[in-house]
Amino acid sequence: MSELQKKILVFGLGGAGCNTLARIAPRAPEGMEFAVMDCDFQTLEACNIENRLAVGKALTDGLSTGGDIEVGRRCAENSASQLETLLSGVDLLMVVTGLGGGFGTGSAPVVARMARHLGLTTLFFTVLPFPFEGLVAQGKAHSAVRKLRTYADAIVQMPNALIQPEGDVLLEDSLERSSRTLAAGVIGLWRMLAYTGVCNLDFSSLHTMLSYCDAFCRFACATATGEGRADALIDSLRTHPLVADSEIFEKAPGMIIGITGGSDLKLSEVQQIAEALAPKGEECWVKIGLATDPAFAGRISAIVLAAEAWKEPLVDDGRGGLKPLAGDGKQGELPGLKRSRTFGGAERTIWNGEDLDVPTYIRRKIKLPR
Amino acid sequence: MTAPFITALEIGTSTIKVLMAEVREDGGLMVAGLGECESRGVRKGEIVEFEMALDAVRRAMEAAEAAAHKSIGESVYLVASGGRAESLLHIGGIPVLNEYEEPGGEITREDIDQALEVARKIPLPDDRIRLHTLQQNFEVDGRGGIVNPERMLAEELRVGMLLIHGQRAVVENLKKLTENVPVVCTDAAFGGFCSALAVLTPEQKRAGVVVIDLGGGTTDFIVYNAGLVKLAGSIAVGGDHITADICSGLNLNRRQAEALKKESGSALINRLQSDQNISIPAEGGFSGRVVRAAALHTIINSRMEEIFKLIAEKIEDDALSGMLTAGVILTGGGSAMEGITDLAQQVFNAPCQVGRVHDCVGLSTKQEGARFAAAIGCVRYAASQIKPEAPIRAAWRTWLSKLWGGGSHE
Repeated sequence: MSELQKKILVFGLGGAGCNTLARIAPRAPEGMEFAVMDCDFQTLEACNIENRLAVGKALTDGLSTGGDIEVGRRCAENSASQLETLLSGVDLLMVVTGLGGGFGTGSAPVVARMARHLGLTTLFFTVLPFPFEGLVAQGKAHSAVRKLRTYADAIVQMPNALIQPEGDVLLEDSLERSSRTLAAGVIGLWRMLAYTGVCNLDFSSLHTMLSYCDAFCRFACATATGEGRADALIDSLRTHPLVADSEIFEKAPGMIIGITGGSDLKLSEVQQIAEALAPKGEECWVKIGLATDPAFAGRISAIVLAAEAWKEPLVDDGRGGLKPLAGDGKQGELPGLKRSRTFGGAERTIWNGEDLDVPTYIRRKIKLPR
Repeated sequence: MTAPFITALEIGTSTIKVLMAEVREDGGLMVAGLGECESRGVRKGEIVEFEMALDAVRRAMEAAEAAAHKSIGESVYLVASGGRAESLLHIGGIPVLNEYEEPGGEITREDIDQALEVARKIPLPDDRIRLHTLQQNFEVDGRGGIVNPERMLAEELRVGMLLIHGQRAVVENLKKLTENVPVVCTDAAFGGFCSALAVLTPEQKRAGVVVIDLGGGTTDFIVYNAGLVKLAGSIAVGGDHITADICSGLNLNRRQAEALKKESGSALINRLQSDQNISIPAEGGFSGRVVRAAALHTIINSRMEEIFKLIAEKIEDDALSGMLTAGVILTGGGSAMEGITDLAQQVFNAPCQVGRVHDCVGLSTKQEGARFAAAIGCVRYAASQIKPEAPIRAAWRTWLSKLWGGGSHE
């Protein structure tokens, strides 16, 4: 990747994250960067990713969190400085984690918060537990998603039960299938951003998508070959288990379609795919990315990222909440505004979004008797 | 044994106070020397101009030494008012095991120590500094309010720790300033906590009370219930803000506004005085003026009401509002404002009074007001920190201090 390109990091959290990345990494294109973090040293040891962050030695002594979210959270928080070093310089963070356990569930919100703080764009691929894992795991996953929503730019939820192959399958196949689905998403997106295509998807388009998508995204991916491959591709995208409802695409207020093909990719095919998938509404925001890769000769592959809702981006109000972005939120507040002139350059007293340095009677619009 | 001699230094926004006192064996204080100096270079409890603040601190210390006919010595205790303090309750617990390492057993001293250790480990962001860690009551198998759980049968032992933390940069700057005087800063204590130590009686702490220290640049508050600190915090709004409000609202300069606030200010809008006018005397280039008392009182009233409401909201958020049986106690310079207790009574819907320092001799009546509460409380806090080293009743005290290792709430 050239100097100008943005740095993308794929980050696995907890046992599920480590295992999934270990499966993704061998098939990843060159130049893709991975990192994993866990408090269970055994899991990390077994993982083939070189960039590892072992945390929480003091809390768990190298064991797992035992399903305790609090421990997971504190592990991550205690290693804030290491995490910050790891995340600094990254532009897009793709986090892969399983929710419902201890470490991933507890640390994901911390990572999200830190990433927001550092100004990263974050996309969370979260694998949700099977129904048989019990209501507690489901509940944990649910509350973690809610916490993530505050800080993450986009969250793709993948219920484990939905991405299983049909029929009575081997456990290994099932795991393979989940990681393959994830891999397709992560790698597909990375390829779109990293390769220069005919009309490649650039970083800012993705950023627009992620910041407007109101946190939740649907995601589907498919590959097809041979005669009538465009039709086959459209079909499999629409019936993708994670989409569940083909209307999702039609109603999506925002969508990114990434198509990768070999040198034999035809315009008619692109047109066909785009027309079939793009939402029908007039005000929809659609961005189509095309990339060609010699490795894809004879094949055509597509990923679709569809927003569930669209709204003004929210920005962190600095107190753990979110507020609608007014104007260009990326441009930080001017230093002069943070300091108060009346009080000799001391920091302004902001309380619940109100500037208490301004006289109360002015803020409350109380008329002074004259 | 000579009574410990302690110096407290309060670097406030409006005044810098130095108090030298001896702590008698019964816990009473004997004030030996007082030094005060108008504060400079401090805003909202933060240092904005180092050299000016340093100069003012030195002058206050000289004044105190002159009054006490004694040298301050090497170390002082610092009152860290402001610093955007906040409190955080952290509950830690351990499973209790019997001698066969099975769950459920008798709680031993080791269990208690371990639970305290777990509860005390509270991660703080880098920009915050720990001021106090105060232990709450124990909780045995979900049953709370237990003072000493030793020898009880239980499966789980939990204990809460209330952490009062402030902004690191602010507190460290204050410490650095004292080191440049040069004296050693032994410890820094939260201003609100100090005020509470000075004015509260054990009965009030048990009944539930909020102490509000109305300072020049910051307003600190602390809530007690059942004898323990339950909530603390600081808002960087104080008397300076009122002065600034008067400046802009009535078009006066700072000095005039300050004088007007002190002489005619009132936190209540008195209907009877609504037609009254206050004349501002003429001075160099400024021809005298007349302002409406009602306007002045409206400005002060809206500001003070807001401060009280912010605190009341905080208390409400922690579901402590019904527990303030002993009401509201005001300290600090702002408590001298006319009508302030009535306003607090309205907002908190609880009895309110200006705090009186108890068990303290050597202050003249005029100063015995609530103004020195934080400094006096700081000396008391320092004494409580030193005590365990004293030889008297050493064993008992060491044991106690171990038990309440998080720091005493007294």
